Amino acid sequence: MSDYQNAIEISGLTKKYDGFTLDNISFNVPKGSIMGFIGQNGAGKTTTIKALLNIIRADSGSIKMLGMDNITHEYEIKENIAAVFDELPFHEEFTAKNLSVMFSGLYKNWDNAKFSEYLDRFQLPQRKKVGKFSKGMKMKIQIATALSHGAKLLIMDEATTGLDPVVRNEMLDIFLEYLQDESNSILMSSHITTDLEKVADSVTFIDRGRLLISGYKDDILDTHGVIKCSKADFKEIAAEDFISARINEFGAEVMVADRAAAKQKYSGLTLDKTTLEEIMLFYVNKDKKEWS
Amino acid sequence: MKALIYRELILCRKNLAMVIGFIGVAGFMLLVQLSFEIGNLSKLPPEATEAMGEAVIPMMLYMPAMIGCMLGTLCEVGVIKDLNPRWNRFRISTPVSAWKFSAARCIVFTSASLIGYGLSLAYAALVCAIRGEAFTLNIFAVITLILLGTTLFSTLFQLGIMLLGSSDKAGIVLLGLCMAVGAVFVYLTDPQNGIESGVLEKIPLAILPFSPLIFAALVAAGWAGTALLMKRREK
Repeated sequence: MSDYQNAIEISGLTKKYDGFTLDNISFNVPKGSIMGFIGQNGAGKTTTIKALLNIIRADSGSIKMLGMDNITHEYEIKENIAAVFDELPFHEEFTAKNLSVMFSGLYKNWDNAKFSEYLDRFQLPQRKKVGKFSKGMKMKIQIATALSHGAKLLIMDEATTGLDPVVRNEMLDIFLEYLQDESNSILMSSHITTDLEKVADSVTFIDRGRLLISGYKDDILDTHGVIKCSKADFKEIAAEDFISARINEFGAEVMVADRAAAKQKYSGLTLDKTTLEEIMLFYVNKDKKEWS
Repeated sequence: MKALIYRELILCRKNLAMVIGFIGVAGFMLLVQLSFEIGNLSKLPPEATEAMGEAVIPMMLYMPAMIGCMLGTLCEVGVIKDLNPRWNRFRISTPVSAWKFSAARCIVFTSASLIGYGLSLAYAALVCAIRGEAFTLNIFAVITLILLGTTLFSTLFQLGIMLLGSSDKAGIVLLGLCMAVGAVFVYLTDPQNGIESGVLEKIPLAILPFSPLIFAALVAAGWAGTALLMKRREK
């Protein structure tokens, strides 16, 4: 594995289905960072992740992981990555003990001691069938297996969806701990933007198969803002100055991509900071321009 | 590879009860044979025991053999459980190739089949010993043919499950195939069709010299077929 700058490099990724196209997706996940991959249900997050893992074949585009092409170096890459899915992929009759034996044959760098440590930490029983675990326990056992073979890249597809806030918080702490090693990286797809606001270094928004925006989270949050004004004031805002606007009977909320410029140009109007969730909402409705 | 074989055994462990089935049927048949020799059935008139014996002996010899040789079907449980798309996505994300996963299944299947075959031969030898008869090459050949037949059936069933995505559909297709083969067999054994009597009896001995090769070819076909079907990507 040679030295690399980006843990993931996706360029021009396209995949066509009837009624949906993943259209020319390009973004990078810098080494040592967490990328939040945000989108609604059906936006194309899982399709992108499946293409990364070669679960589906892309129609066009190139993918590199850990500096290597994901087709020609497939097995070398997979030795050094771990995938965590929204639902437990292991057969229900397996126990944690069975899984540790199985995983020792799947990964050369499987570390049984580390796995046992995680089981203790997560308070997971060794001899109980995983089919009888709660949802939170099932996710914890997946994470434990993912973190116990020296993976340099974690790819997580809606891994925290459906978990209670306590477990989600616990998981996020584990991910931050994982990134203490600067050679480790995470791609985390989710529509729970509050989680990503806590941990992500960069974010990529996707909607209906198209990339909306991609960049460092803090930059995106710093540059975007929401103008809150009356309907009459809204009419004074030039169309090219905003992404989209939510109109209701009380007034308008207008998402701008350049908060500094908007502050200067529309100094009489209230301009607030925004959240990733709001950014997602307003960008998703970009084509409509005005919505409610 | 050991870990993958371990996985297969965990998946099919409940089906190990099939061994109990074999022991049960074989045990029952042995008791029937003992009854003919020294038990209640030996007290029947000689004509009756002779007539019953001719009907029952082939069943006593070969029915347990059919069950024994089908021990390889233990693996079908693993095939059915692996139809789970969540497992397949995870499997593809690991650095282990479809060929290795398939090889593990193949090893378990082959080992179970050969163990069942060995038990069947041992059982048949025991029945012959009880009856005071020789364990002939013909008996060995028939049991070997049963092994080849059950291996073919199991391989087709496993591939059918993976191809059709359902054990029910695969079962229906295989049932149709068996009925077609059965119809051909009935035709061939009907004297009105001019088939020389005794021809069918010679088939097991004729195939016996080639049976290791045929068995190896069936196992290899199962391994390759399973691996190629596992390599399919989601659409």
